[in-house]
Amino acid sequence: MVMVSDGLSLTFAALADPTRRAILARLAGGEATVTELAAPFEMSMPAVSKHLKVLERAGLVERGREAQWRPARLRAAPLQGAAEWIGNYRRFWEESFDRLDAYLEDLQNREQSDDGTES
Amino acid sequence: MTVPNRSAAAAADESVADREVVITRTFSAPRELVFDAFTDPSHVGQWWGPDGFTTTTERIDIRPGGTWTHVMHGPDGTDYPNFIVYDEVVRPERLTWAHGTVEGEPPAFHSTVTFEVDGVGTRVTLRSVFPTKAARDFVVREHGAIEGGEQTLQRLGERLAAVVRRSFTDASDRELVATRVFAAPRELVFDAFTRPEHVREWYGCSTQDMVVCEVDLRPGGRFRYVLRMPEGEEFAFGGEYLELVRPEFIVNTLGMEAMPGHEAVERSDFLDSAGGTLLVMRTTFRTAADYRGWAESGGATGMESTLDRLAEVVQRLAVVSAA
Repeated sequence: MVMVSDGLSLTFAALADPTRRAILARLAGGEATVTELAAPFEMSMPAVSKHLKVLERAGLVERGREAQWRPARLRAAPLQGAAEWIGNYRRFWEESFDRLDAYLEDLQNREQSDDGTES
Repeated sequence: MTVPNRSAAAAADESVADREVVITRTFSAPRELVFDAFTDPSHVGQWWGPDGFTTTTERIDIRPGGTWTHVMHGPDGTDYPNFIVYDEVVRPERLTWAHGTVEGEPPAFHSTVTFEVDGVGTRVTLRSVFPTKAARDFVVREHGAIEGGEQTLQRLGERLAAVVRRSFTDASDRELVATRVFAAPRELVFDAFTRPEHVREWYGCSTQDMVVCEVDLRPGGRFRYVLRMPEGEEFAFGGEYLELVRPEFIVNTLGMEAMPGHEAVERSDFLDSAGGTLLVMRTTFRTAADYRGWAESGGATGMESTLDRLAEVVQRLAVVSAA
């Protein structure tokens, strides 16, 4: 099933929640423990852990193993993938049009050389 | 309505008929692009004036009440000072100004330019109204105002032909118009746009692999594309063909499967153009927030859509990684 294997769908689903976006924004400033993350939210630590798990599954956050309190860190790669795709509609089309331009030239050259061998 | 004096102007039409000069021309370019050619300082100085004229801009500020102070240099070396005060600036429909020589003196005439959609192109009507018939006749006789106006719009046409070769214009806060000229007949360009074996070869950026390309090319049919990003994530999107006529045009929806409810509508027109095909592709997003979400990776704050939130997070990331 596409939606399951589709990393970007996971990314978007993870980002759909305002608390998780706030957690990411906080982590963009540096790693933090669950206690630190829970502080601004008036939310229980298990609730924050649950959000962290969703973010971890989407690959947006990784947890350190080196210490008992396992600080959470932001992983930027999936975000960049998502941002890259939707990030610049204009640039997407500009590059696609450049490729189409070159491809059309190829196509026509091929057609012409086909005509040449036939006649 | 933004044009409060219109009915008054219409009532005065008959008395104006003998003291005006009207010039019309149709251009193969989207209306917003033609309008911008009149109002973008980087464009207007390039084509303004009859054949052989060049323009030096001293000051330009195109908005209601703004001014454009410029000198037109004639082919014989004569300099003509111009002082324009803009009245209405209504993109992409209408532009009016009072045209004089120097600041502080009464204007010599008033000009109105209207931009009307004409097929995929744009019809421009440039109307200049003089205070008296005598003033109008003098300018027509002594300065060749009609030929000069025709030549000016001819030069605008040449400028636009160069611009449409590759352009992207924000048509509104939720609309993007792309134009591109391809050196191939339009049947071929149309097929390259719609046949999977062709689409796979060019759609997307060079770092993205197209792993699914399904096309059911008929009104009511759907298409589905999946691109694989360099990191391996797959991105699925597609839409429905609403209307199409080979090789003239296609209207379809376009949406990301991960973001239902944010479909845009794309209209692609394929036009014969000197030596090739002019593609005019207009994308209309549901909301301005949707467009910003697609169009920019940063800048949007306080919007409710997920895309805007994503943009915000990414912008923060960029700041952190730059620091």
